[in-house]
Amino acid sequence: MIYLKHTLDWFQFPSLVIDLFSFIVLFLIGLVSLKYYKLNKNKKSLYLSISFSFIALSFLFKLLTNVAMFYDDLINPQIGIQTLQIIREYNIFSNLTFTIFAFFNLIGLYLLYKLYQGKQTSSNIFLMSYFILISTYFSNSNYYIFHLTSLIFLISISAFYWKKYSENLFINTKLLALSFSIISASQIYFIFTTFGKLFYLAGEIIQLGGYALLLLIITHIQKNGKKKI
Amino acid sequence: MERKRSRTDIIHDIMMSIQNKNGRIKPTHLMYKANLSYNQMNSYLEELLEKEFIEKTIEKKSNYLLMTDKGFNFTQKIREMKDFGKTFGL
Repeated sequence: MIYLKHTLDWFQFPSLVIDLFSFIVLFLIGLVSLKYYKLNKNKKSLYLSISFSFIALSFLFKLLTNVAMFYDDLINPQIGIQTLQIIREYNIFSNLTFTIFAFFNLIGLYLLYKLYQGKQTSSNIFLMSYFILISTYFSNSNYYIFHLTSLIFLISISAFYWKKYSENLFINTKLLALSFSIISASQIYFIFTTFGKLFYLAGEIIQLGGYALLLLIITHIQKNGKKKI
Repeated sequence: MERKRSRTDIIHDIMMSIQNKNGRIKPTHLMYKANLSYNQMNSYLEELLEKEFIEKTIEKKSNYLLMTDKGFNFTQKIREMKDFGKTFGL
């Protein structure tokens, strides 16, 4: 699955920038969480850091897939110039990086989901692992299965944050729940990527909104720490 | 029922009690403000003094605890960490 082939030409470069931005935000949350783990030794902070790091890493592989395609199109705009061998090699590369993207993304989301579900039985973990492997396996041929699985995880995580907000009434938790709900909504658009070029564009812009909100939360927390003096 | 305070919570309460008194507090006042027993307070103070987050001083024959710049920065970090934990439901 190469997303850039399913979007408008002018949006190819902005799409790369959006993915880079998403990677930076996710990596930052992973880093901040790790910093707090070193301070309080709370294992949940460590698990949160690992979850966000996996998702960040997945975006790095998505970027790799799309950057390779983007530059390939710039250098060789006419497909006729390329040899069949180059195309084949490129397809193997993009399929591999996309598969790794899907796998890391689902692993990260599952770890995040698991963090809030408490202790799980081994049969439950086995079942989830099976779903992740199946979704990853079909991510290239039937990419919507991957997005559907992501959507299910994201809805569960969002629901937890909304529940948490109803308990603590903390504005940052509300923003967090909202950002995960927005990211969940973006998955719905990604599911229909091959139905029209605007779907991927809409999905990316909605996703950007979700990650921008996540960045806002982190800056809000850092700012608040300094303010209450 | 209120949950038991963690070690980080207690350190946060101690540092906030000092900060709320403009960075200078008497040990007896701290004991009440941070809701600690005498022994508990001494064990935490020992650690905070060792890490140079606070320092002892004597003014008009009374003992005072002063918050250092290092302690001030540490308090900020703890506050950020607590906000982060509360946000993410940790």
